Amino acid sequence: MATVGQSAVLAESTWAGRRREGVRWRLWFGLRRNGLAWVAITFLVVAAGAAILASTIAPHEPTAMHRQAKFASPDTTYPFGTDEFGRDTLSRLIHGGRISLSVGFSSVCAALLFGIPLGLAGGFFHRLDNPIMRVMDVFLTFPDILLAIAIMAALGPTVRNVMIAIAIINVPIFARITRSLVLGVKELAYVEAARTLGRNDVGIIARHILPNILSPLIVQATLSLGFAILTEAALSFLGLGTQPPTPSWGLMLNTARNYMEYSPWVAIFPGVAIFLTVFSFNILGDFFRDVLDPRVK
Amino acid sequence: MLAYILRRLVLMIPVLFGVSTALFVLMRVVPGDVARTILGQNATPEAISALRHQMGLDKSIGAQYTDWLWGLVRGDLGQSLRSGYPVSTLIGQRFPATLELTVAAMVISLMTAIPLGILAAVKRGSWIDHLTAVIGLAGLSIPSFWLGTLLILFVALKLRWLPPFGYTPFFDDPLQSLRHLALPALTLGFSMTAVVMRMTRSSMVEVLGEEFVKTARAKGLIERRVLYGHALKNALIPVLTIIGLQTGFLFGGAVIIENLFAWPGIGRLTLDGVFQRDYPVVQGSVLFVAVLFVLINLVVDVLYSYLDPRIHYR
Repeated sequence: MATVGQSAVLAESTWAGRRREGVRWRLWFGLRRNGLAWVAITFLVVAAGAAILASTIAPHEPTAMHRQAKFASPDTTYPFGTDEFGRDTLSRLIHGGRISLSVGFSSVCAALLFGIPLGLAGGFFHRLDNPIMRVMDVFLTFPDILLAIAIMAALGPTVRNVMIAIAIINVPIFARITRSLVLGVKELAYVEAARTLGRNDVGIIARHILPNILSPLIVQATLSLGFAILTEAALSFLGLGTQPPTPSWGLMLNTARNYMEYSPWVAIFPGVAIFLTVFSFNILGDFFRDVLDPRVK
Repeated sequence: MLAYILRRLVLMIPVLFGVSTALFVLMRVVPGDVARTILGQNATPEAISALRHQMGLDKSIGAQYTDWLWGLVRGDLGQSLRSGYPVSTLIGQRFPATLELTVAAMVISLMTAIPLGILAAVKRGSWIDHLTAVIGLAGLSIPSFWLGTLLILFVALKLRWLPPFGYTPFFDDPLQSLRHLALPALTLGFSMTAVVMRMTRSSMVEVLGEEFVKTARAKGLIERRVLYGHALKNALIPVLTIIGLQTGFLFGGAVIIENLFAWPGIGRLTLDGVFQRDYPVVQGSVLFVAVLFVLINLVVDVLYSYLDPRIHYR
């Protein structure tokens, strides 16, 4: 029995190793053929770098008002022009990226942290399935932006609360996907085999189920990142997110509405920033789906 | 079929119970004293206690909860703290504008998305397919409020083709009403166009690869019959789910669009409620949209059986 167990473990580990190699190879091979994915990755790396080094690379203070240069058109001093207070649009975009990306990452991470365990529990333990999923269904009953607005109305407009609101609307999405993936995997022969070999539930989930459902979750997480950034911008645009004078892309568009007839660029550049970031995450999500999900051709 | 619809309606009850409970909890976690927040720091203690009494906040949390549920059963969503009108009356006044906007958005997006999706699937791998793929992805990524801002900026303010905002009821002046409707409906429908187009394409590609399509071609049917008579009807089944879901999201997205275009619908009502801290209005209008969302999905499920006779409901 011991030898059977050992060889099974051995076979399992080399198989897992080869599979991982396969994924890496597929990613690399896919990237070589997909120019758009390269563009997306490059843009996101540059945007993340700019956000991290915002204080160093931004040409001006994001909140500094240059009274002599209100509504300045793009020139060498202010490459993207200035707003109604003479604040440099480029610097505000760079600092705003910090808010957008950090809100996006932290809310999606929080949603993964709660959503995946809930979905694993619901999918694996039959008794927990109904209670967990019915609660998740309640949250899925609201159109997401409306739920976010209701949460912001209750909690009050701060950046931290935006993260909480976006995390809450994403938890049921991850819980639901995880659950259905677990249901698809848990009856498979290798899970049965692991159970026969005497692995306990936690071991089976961690060693056999989770690694095999990771790909679709990575795809969803990537798409959720873009969506989270879009939601943050929407909330700030409605005046429920980041508050002035903190620079945020959505908030910049909100104030730009009042002046856009005279200075269109204040209404254009923040939108371009949101669009390119979300677009890049969506391209990346589609790319991961094509490469990691063998069902789609 | 009727039994199925009835059963689904009964099954809605626990979901709606959960939704109303969630909203009740949400509106009670408002930090601090709600009455003081509404009235401001300079309010007299008498005014605050009067408002607390009016809102029923002086009762125990259990009594507040049963009051809220009992009100819902009778169709009573409470009263606006600002205007004093029943919330249901306010919703009734605002709903036609929202319905007009969402229906127009849906019509625009379906009329563009389904033909483009079919075209992309039929011309799979061609430049049309790649172009629609990029447009689809861009449509998912463009913030609706930015698209709307750009349309206002260029179409309304620069070119002066259409009014930048405002609302005219359709029966007052149909032409003017449509002129007001065009930009917000286009903006709201754009992301739905992208989603439905992508779904139509992938579903159509899948169906076109199936045996019965080969059979239809093999027996010599003209391509148009194969596409529209055989493939499309089957391909539309998953598309329908997406349309149902997206219609629900249109009502959510309407909050943003109504705010941008000064459109007097439910979305504006909700957002004004948020800013005026008119909690019964927020609670009521969010609940209303959630119920609508559930009902739309029920309608979609029923339509399924029409499109796909293989599905039997018990």
